[in-house]
Amino acid sequence: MREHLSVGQGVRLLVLSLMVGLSGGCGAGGREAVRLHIDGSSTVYPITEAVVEQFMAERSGVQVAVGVSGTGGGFKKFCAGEAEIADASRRMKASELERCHENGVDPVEFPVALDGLSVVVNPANDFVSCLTVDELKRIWESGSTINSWSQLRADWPDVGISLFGPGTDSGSFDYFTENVVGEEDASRPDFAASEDDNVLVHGVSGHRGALGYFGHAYYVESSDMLKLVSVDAGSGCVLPTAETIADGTYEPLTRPLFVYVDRLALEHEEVLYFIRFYMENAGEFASDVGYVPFPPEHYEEILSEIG
Amino acid sequence: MAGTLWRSRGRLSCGLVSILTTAGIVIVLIWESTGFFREVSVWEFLTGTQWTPLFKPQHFGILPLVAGSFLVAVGASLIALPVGLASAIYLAEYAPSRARQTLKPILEMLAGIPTVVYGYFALTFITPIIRKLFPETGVFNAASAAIVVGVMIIPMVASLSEDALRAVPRGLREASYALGATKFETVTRVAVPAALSGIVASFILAISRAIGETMAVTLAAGATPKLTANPLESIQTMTAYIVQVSLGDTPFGTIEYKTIFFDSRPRWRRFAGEVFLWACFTATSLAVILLAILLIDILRQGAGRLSVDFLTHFPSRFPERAGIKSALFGTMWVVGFTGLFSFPLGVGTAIYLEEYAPRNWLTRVIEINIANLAGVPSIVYGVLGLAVFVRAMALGRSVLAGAATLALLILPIVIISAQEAIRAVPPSIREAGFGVGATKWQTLQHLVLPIAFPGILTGMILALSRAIGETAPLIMIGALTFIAFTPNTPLDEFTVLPIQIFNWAARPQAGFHELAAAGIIVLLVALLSMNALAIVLRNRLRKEL
Repeated sequence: MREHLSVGQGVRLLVLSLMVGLSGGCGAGGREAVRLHIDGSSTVYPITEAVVEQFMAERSGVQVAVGVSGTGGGFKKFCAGEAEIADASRRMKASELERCHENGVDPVEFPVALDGLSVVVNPANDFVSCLTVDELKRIWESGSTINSWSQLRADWPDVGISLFGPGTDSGSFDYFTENVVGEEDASRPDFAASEDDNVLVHGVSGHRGALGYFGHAYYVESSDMLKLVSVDAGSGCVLPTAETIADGTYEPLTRPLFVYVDRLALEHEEVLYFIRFYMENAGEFASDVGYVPFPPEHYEEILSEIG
Repeated sequence: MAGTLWRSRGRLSCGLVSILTTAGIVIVLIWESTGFFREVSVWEFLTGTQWTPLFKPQHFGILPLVAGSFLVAVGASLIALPVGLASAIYLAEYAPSRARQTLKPILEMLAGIPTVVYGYFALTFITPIIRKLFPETGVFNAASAAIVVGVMIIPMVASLSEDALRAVPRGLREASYALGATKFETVTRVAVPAALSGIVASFILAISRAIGETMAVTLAAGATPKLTANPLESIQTMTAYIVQVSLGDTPFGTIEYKTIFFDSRPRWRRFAGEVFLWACFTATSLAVILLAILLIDILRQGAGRLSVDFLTHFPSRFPERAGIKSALFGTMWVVGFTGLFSFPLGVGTAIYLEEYAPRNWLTRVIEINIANLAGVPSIVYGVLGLAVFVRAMALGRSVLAGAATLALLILPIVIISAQEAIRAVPPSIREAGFGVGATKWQTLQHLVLPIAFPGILTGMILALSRAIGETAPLIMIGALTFIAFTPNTPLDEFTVLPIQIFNWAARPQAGFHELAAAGIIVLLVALLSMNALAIVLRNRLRKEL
């Protein structure tokens, strides 16, 4: 831990004490409940929601409010000190970390579960079952002129490709462009984008030549309307399943999901207790909502680290 | 003298209110956009043909957005203006009073359905029909968006135009009959022209809303999200144009002096009247049938989830245990404060503009600007609320910040409809007031405002209905999604029904989609009971002129 606190941190500590603290003195009978604020990714939200619901049922006197402003929006609030915890479907960027430090917020990262971005086509599409990363890149890169499946492989029919993908504000879009196209946010603009993955499911199931990608949980819930495509990153075609996501063979689209906590907030008993609770239950709740847990050792290690 | 004091105070405060509101909104909007124009040249912005601000490489050409907005707005107007006006004519001139009293609130209820719901309706109901008729159509298309936005703005046209028609003095109609005109001729050549200023105002509000609509269009047309997050005022410019054009030739108060020309063939006259009545009746039915389809679709999905538990439980990750309590309370808090803020501000401004403001260029600029603000996309108000209320005034993500944002959002609707209501009071009433020696303020207070009040109330109901269903600006200012407690003070955090509904609708599991439908039913019931109260008041207050 730090020896000296900057002025900003001192003020934040004071505010935190006023906000979170004093509750010990009030005891269980105190009217003023402790209030925690979480904000960020809609992908991580279902896990956080489950944790919060269970936590509040077991620990009265702590009120947790959860917002969904997307990974970037959540970091913005987190770094401005408006939320103690941030949900994120990608790592914090250097620029965001800098902003955090400017405001005296020192983020601690906790990977909570794994998700496999799933590439899907229309069920009536009987020719595509596996795509290489390079083919995905050629379709999605900015300036791409691939508009028909026959342009991709000569033996595929001349069926127009219509593209569906997550909105540009989402962590999924950032992750896909960075790991498939090779440069973050570099994408052709002419695809139908939506922050609502159900809308994407509708789109893909309505167009014969459609291609789309989104979080694995949405594929699992709508598998009867979609056809899952396996991805070849150089060592053969791999279909995203709980196993291939957990052991990391579904590459490069397996991504970790995170929560971030302010180190200063973590010194608080209730916040620490909440994070411990989160780590103890994240694995179970993650599989409940369609994601893939880390092996138990992962969570145990974090728990022993934070004490 | 007490009267003089009242008069000057009334005038002063109303004047201040209008100027402050208008200036405040404009300044922040300009402030928000200057940062953008420091980075992007105005020329590129206006003439570029590619709009990809979040992609690499970036392009900031606004033309695709303008074209898209234009397409949707024109399509929606083609549906909403004729259907809405015909419904208004049917309700005001032909419908038996009981039918009117039932149908009007139903139409007004359409205005309160969250725009998100219209979006899903387009996607799951309208688009499949279009695709069946024209198999080449994509899942996301402008036609579906235009139709659904058209349906969405019908109530605005119908309700406000109906008010305008009903405000036409009976004497005009009687004079027309006395000259031998048929009902059809009286309606089309006397009542409608006399109400034209109100009808045009309803058109402007509706078209403005069509251009500024975000959520429904995004869902139905599959627009890129950048359109919603960063509309950057292209739309404002278009609205300014529409408003100037429409306000430019809005004649009122002159129609009484127009000569009426009648066709003298009696059979043709009767036939035209019949056809017209049926056309109006069909339009009204069409609006009602569309609402019915929408409602049945929602009821079918959500009825099974409705229970006392649903109302009294907090949200949960288990659909069978989840309830809507925090969102319900949040909506009540926010809409209550929105009403408290917007009613005095809006009506005060309307009184000032109609009764006291000098008829000069400044007043005209203010009026055009207010009408223009009605067309600013609601998400822009979210940006404004975030900058001013959440951050600068340090209200945080509180009920007060949300209510203040929504109050600004609905202010133009309140002002314009209140102005119309005041304008519709016949000059003879004022003249009678002055004739018995009343001051201007006394005439206003005791004669004009009581007569205008039903119309003002209608505008207020529609405005609050919109506030209830509004999602985008509250998401922008950061209203929360999962809250298992209710606000105790106006400074507490909150969530509202549309956000909860939106969240459930976006989940992958079917159980949550049913919850979303059940949430919509709750929202509609809340809306209905609120409207019912106001409508009872209105009907009691409304006097036949």
